[in-house]
Amino acid sequence: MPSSHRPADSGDDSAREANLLRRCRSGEPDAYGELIAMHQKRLHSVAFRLTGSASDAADVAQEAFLRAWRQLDAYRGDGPFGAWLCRIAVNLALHDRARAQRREAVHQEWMEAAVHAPGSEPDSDRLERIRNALQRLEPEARAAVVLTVYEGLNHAEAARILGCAETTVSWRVWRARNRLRRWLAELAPRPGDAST
Amino acid sequence: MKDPQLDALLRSVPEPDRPDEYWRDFPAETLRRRGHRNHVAPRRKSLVPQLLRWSPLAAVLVAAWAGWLRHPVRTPEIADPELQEIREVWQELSILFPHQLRAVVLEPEGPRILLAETPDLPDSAPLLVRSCNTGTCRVAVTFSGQRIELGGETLDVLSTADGRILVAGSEALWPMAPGRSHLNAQPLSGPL
Repeated sequence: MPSSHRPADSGDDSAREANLLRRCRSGEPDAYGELIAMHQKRLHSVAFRLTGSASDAADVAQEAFLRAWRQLDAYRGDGPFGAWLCRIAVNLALHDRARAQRREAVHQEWMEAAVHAPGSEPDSDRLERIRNALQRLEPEARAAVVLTVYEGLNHAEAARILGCAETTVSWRVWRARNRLRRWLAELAPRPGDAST
Repeated sequence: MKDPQLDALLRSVPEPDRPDEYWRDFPAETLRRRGHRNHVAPRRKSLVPQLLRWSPLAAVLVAAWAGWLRHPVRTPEIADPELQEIREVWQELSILFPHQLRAVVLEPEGPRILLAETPDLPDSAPLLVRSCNTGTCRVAVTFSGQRIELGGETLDVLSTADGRILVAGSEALWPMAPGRSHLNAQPLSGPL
């Protein structure tokens, strides 16, 4: 099931969001606090799936909100505010070299520890393998998977956030799925297993 | 493994469980950090450290500055549609390369991006610089303290805290000879 963190696209929420944006632009900091509260869980979720780290996700989410505040006048309202925030968070998560290097180091340590750990817990090992597989994808492919599989966006919506063509997203998702299938083949449910 | 099975496998990794207090405090903490950052990170660099860094240019620049202060000149503006397009390009790239974008030079073949080695550039108001020679104009967006190549010329771009801009090239110093100079500059106004 895709992420449930996305604020509902109801008319009430849109009107409230538009009102908060107006108040932000007239210099009310409390209004921006309310906007953060509306979108914080989604941004944390996207950032976690992209970075694989809870602390990096918190950093990315906070930095995205700060950057969005500084660039608020650049948001012209021609798409959902949440998607605009998401775009900033995706770019921050994927293009911060220092963060990526730190993440690679953590994953390397984990892989070494996993090899040497005698009898680690099977479920924990399984979850780590899945998370690690996602992190092995190229950043752009990982972003396409996160937005479509975890966030439940269609390829056109994901393309708007990623700033590329819809066909590019389709290609990245298709290619990423093939790789993930190969890397996670051992975890696939067997024919006799209960359906997932 | 079929797509739905793969998706289910991917989604089986739970997100970190954060306590309610975290979600309650996060907006206030972010607002607090915003206030702190605004306080500690001035949006424009001071002119003085730049002058000291480029000591060979310092004497010429100070003389030019003094002359300009006596005869301030309004900077010629670029047409609105072009300016809007440039703003959008800068906007996109500054999101892609946070704190790393030194300049964007708009070439006929497409934007040429100048990046810093590490993403540690401070927030600063972007400036638009134009160099026109033999009917061809080249445009770049950068900010104070940057040295850029534009139209085959090396330009040093400086601005003061009150928004005055100075562009020093190998053959011209703008705005010392407005109207005759092939250079001009203006703020790329609008928050970025």
